[in-house]
Amino acid sequence: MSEIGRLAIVLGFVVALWGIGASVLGALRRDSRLVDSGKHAAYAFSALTGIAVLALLSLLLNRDFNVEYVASYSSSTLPIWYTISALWGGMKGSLLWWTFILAVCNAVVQLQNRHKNRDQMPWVTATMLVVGAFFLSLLVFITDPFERLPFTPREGSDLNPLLQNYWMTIHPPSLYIGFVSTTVPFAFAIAALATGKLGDTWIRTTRRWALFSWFFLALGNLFGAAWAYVVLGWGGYWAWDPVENAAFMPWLTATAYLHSVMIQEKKDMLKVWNMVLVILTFSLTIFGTFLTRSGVISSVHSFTQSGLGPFFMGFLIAILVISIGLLVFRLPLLKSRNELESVFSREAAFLLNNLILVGIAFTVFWGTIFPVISEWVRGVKITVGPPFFNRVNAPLGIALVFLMGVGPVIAWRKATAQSLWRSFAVPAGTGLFAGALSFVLGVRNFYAVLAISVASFALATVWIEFWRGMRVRQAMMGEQPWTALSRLIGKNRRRYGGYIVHVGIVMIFMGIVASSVFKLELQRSMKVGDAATLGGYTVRYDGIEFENDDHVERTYARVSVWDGEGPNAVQIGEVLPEKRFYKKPKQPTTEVSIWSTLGADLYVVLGSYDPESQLAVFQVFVNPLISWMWIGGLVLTIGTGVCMWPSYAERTATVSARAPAGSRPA
Amino acid sequence: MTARCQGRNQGNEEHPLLSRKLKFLCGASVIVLAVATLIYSAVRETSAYFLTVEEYAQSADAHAGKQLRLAGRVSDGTVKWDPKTLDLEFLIAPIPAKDAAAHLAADGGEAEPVAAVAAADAAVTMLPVRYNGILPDMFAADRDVIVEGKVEGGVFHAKTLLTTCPSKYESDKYESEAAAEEPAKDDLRAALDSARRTP
Repeated sequence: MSEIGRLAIVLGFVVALWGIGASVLGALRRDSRLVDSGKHAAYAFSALTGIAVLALLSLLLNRDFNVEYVASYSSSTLPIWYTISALWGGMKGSLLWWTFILAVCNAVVQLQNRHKNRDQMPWVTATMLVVGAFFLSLLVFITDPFERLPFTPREGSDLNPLLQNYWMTIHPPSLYIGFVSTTVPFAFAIAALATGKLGDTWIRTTRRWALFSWFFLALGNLFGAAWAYVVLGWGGYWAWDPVENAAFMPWLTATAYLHSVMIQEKKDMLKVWNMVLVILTFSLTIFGTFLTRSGVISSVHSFTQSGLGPFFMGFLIAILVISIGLLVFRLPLLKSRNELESVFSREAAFLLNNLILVGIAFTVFWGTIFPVISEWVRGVKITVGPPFFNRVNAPLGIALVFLMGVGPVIAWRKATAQSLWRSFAVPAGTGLFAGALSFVLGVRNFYAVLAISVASFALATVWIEFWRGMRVRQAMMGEQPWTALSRLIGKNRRRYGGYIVHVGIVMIFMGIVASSVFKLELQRSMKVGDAATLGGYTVRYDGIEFENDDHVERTYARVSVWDGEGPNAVQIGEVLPEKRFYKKPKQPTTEVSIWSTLGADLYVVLGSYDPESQLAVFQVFVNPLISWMWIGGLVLTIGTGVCMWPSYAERTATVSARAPAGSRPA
Repeated sequence: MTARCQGRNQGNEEHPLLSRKLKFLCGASVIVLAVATLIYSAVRETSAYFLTVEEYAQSADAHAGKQLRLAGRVSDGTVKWDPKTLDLEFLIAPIPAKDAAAHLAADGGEAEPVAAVAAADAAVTMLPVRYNGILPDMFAADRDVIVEGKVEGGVFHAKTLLTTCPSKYESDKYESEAAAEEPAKDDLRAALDSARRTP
């Protein structure tokens, strides 16, 4: 099986090289046979990487420990679900998985465009195959996932226990889908630059892809946060670790692009800027991979470090040089006919939002590479941690949410005082009222009051948009409220889907603000029967239990959760925080237990248990509103779904395009 | 609705294009400056020097009272942990030269053989560390850790204690020929570890 896999990646690499050559030559000579050959190579590439993934999967499932990858990342007692996830649990597997997702994206792009974009497609094919060939070359020449050991260990050393968690089975795939699919807009951007066809075609073709990759980046980040929250056991979900930053930066620039592209569609402006954002987003995904693979920057949970750094660096430089070179070459064609007219306009609000998003991306980038830069410049390594990122990004984040309220409703071109008043009187009033109310209710943190205020403002503008649109339909079409609402959304999916996404983002924002500002924490050493109170909850240590099987040894505490303090407390539940000892890698882990409500999470950690003194050490956190981050993620998913769902016109267009082939009326 | 244009803004056309552009450039540079200032002040107030134990030992006075991140190894037999008060004390020692290369590379810098050789005399450069809180899962004697905090009165008061992850995390760098002989233990990782330690 390993030979089949090895053969598949070698052939895949050769096929990719052929496809690149054929596509580029075909495009230059306008030879449709060569172009078709490149297209077929793209399909073959997908099939071959698919075979390689299946081969590795079957080796894992057959527990063939003679294969180094299988021995390193699984064991005979690893549950089947995690054995599958071991496919991307190690570096080699994750590179293969990455290539496979890219190949699937490539095949889908080929299918979608089989009758379209004839001039651009060879360049798209070539670009995507270049990226694919790069990743595959690492597997073929440097780090072979099908490598066999000179001996067969009786047992594998198991998947890292920290990765044996359900979030970890879905976090990497979604993040990779997000990372990899940024290649599609990038490839079309390169094709547009190469062919000089810089109109709206490439943007319209990749609109859904851009949203798709943005969405999966968002999900990947949220899943990663959820994983950190339930697995790492320090009471938080985001530590501004380089690996996290690597996933966050492309999301920021992708968000900027989704907004600025609307300005290009409506006003034919910001063409160069949009190109830059697409190139930047793709480069940041490669940079992210470079960060996590090279070990240039220390990361507490970067789980792989290897000698691949220079290759990624080289590839990154090549990408930047080629794409920026092309961009400069085509600058004369990217002139815009329109100019910004007023600071009080939607264009300006979007531009501002873009500047802030890119500003945040830059601060994250700067903070991440700061140790390297300071060592170059001053010869001493200086690091910045979470306090740096929080300090810089708190005001920027609040400004962003404020603009989120402004952008959707401010007038295009130039807003008059009159229109500003009409659009913003109610939302601004709502925001000020919410801020004041929170102050009266005892919130004294400046940022928290401000955040509550801008979040209410943003929600109010969205609410008014829905409300007014619905009322207009009710009045003009005589529709019932719910019909009016659903048709309003249905006729204008992008706009109202976007608003729903905004609501999701505000929820996530409030979850972040509340859980960072109002977090409570307590550490206590307890004997059975001892109780502690925190933030209106009481926890009582009721006893310790042990469980043991082949795979893992578990020690867990029974802790009852009470609402209130003292004699009036009412028991509301029980949590079972746990210490585990995974036997194959001989590694202890902490399993937190969370009592979750919409208001707050009670997060209980069993720090240690000492059998001699029978003392159990607990760490308890109260994290307010954290559930809203996950609910916000759900709302964001619904909103994206609304945006992505084909409109009525698009659906009928596809049907009528297909109709002649099958259902010609007699 | 809100997007309706007003007839009155014709007056704007009189402004020369350049000055309008200038206005936006000014607006944009205000934001860029604001971000730069935010970064600058935050770096000044939150940054910490990242040193190895031997680097610290060479310039201890210069770093007294400053925010530091220190990378080193938990010295065997020096760990004192009180589960009642959650007080932890241990001595942090330099990471031995043979492991330092791999680790320093992983921690973001190039290995400096000079410092590593100087560290051979480990006893001189050990530093007491105090910490209060729950121990990380990976904390143990002979493990490599990163502590963050300040040195006061010759004692490192750590606010955070991070354990760098053991060999599991760098499993891609072993020599297969060294592991060629059938390992005595049934654990592959142990075999690979010992293979790596005896070059």
